[in-house]
Amino acid sequence: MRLFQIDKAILLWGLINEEVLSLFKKEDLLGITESRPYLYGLKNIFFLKNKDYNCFYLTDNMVGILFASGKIKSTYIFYKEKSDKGFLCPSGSLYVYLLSRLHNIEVNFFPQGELEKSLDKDASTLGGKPFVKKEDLKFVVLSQDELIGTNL
Amino acid sequence: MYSSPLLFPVKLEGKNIIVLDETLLPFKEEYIEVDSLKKALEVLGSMKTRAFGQVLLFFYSCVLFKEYSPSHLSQEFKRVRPTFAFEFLAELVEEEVKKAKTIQEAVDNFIKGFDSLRRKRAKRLAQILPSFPKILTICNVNGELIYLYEELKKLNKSCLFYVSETRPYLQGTRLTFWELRKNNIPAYLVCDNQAAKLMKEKKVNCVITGADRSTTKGDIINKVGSYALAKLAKYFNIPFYALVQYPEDIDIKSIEIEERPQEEVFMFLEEDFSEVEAVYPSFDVVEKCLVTQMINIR
Repeated sequence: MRLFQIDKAILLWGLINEEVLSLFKKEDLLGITESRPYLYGLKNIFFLKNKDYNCFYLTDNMVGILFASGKIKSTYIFYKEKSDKGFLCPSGSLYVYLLSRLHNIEVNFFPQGELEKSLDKDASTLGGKPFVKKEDLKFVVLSQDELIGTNL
Repeated sequence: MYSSPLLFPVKLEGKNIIVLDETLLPFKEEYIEVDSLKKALEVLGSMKTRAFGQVLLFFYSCVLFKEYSPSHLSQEFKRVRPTFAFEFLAELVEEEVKKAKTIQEAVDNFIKGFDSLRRKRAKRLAQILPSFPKILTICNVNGELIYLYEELKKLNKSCLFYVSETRPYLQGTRLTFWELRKNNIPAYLVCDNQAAKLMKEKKVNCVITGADRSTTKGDIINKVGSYALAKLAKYFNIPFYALVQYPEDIDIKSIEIEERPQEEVFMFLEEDFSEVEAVYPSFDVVEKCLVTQMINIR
């Protein structure tokens, strides 16, 4: 797929909840972000393909170019918990939230779907495959939940 | 003494070009022999080498495959990697040839001079940075962060690197984090999307990237993900520095952004992705308004 084929896509971040599907039409174009390190995007894209949704996959660092080129009309972030402090979301959510807001894209929060154990917990592995030497593992920053506060 | 094979990932040995296969790092350090233009283009297209490696590959191709003019070679290289300014490299070679006896001498002079300029650029950047720079970086600038670390040490400045993994090829993980840790330089690895949290928590106080292209107006083109870092850095009031070489007097928007085959997005993963659509723009444009300062090679 090429960038020119993307127009007014809906960006999905995190682990999608089946209930959100009622908000989308089959003709909507859904951009499925990878959501590192857990690779929730892989689970999402196969799930949505099986339901015949029109979707494409992108890695997290590609969201910037999509926002900058006006390809995204709205963002959905799937959160873990909601409180009066804001939304507790998986690692990386702040990146997507801020980039959405900095491009004046509306952000919708939705409770995340059922959690499955991920093979990856940080950047040292991808799909369970190691990319960092054992002696350097202590220099890999653990991914942690991020609070998207009401003040942001 | 600090060093990295990525400082010179491509070498000329006799009638062969020897290319470090960057796709196998960090677990294997293997080299590919290139003895024809076809092979050189294959190596380039399959990302076995990139950045300064592709510059060296081009120069050495000019030396070895003399049946083609530098200008013709630049067109062939450009067909494979359209964003990079190979035509500019051809002009450099042709200019240098006027001063030297042979293409080989011209190329040798240029490469030697370029490395010295890289060191000087690192020195200038080290002077600009604060007393304890906590640097977020993306992709790989072929060993220049090692030069930077050396220069910071000379100025008695401590330093800490955060390396963004750089999906989908993981150049940040496999190249930058590896070369820094190999030299025992303080460096942490993060997922690309952890940048905002690092900035919010003030764990980084500057962003440093390379640039595949740049303009005299101050815009750059660099690895996809660079724009997001620049945009977030601006929001958090963190300076964004770009290491550039030979800025061109052109409109940044006139440069074609390479889009790689979608299967490469999944290259390290094992599921069957044949039915899945994906995008893979290789580069981002970062406009002047987001770049605090370009650190030029000259």
